[in-house]
Amino acid sequence: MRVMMSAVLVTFCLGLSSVNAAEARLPVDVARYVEQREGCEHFRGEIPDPPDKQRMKEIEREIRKLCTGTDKKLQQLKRKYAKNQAVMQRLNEFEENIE
Amino acid sequence: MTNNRTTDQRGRSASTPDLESSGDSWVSRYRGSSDLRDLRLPFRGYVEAFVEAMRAAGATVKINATYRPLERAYLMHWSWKINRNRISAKDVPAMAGVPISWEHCDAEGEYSDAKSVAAARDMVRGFEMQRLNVAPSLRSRHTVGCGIDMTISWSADLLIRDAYGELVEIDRMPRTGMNPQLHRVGASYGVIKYKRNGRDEPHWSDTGA
Repeated sequence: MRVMMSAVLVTFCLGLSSVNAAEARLPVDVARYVEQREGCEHFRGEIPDPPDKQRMKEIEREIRKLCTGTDKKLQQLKRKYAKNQAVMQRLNEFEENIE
Repeated sequence: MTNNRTTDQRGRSASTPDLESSGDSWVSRYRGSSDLRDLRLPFRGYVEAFVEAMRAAGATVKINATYRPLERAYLMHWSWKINRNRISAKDVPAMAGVPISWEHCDAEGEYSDAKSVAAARDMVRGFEMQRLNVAPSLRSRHTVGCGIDMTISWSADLLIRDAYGELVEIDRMPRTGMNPQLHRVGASYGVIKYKRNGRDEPHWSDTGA
């Protein structure tokens, strides 16, 4: 069990460090956007089902903080970095027009 | 590819014989689960062990959500988008295994945007997403069976066994799923507290996402 759990943690940490390294190569404004948008993406997947009023309030609060203006910002960044393949690849992972 | 349509004699719906019109009858289908057995292996085993350890230590654990079928996420996503006029019902992509027609017709058998949007609105109301300002996502840790929402609480210091068999005393506040000492114990089992942007008290997953 101990060996298995160590393997889980090592794999997780290695995965995390490679993700962080990739994100670190992004321009600051893109990295900041990606961080916020990933939070937004998370809460878009947390809509309570079956409906739960208290949980929905929490989700709506986080969505207001993390998702407001995200469509416009994504478009701006895509225009700004249209010729940067690495940046565009990362930005293209996000769905457009979610607001 | 979009789902095909025809018109019934009342001109009300746009379903072919094998497709059923969108509307609130879809809200009760492909329901999400709060059963640990619906999580994907090996994450399921990690969660079962962690939850068992918390309960053995005297914590109260209420499982709120585990697996959400992709089909349910599809219905939530596209009904929201049609209702907000972000897409025409005619352009919604079909999903294998979901025999829904998003298009509705008027009495003359012509496509009716108003009727299609009204049917989507009924679904949005059924999902209680009327006030939601973004489209629900099509994918999440829940749709791959690797996310769980659970409410955790305890009343006195918690003596809990981690995945290595060591007893860990949790003596700091809060006595909820937001306790950092508990997060370390969860991580030893491979159950990672949500750690991206924002505050999500009940959510844990295989990655922390």
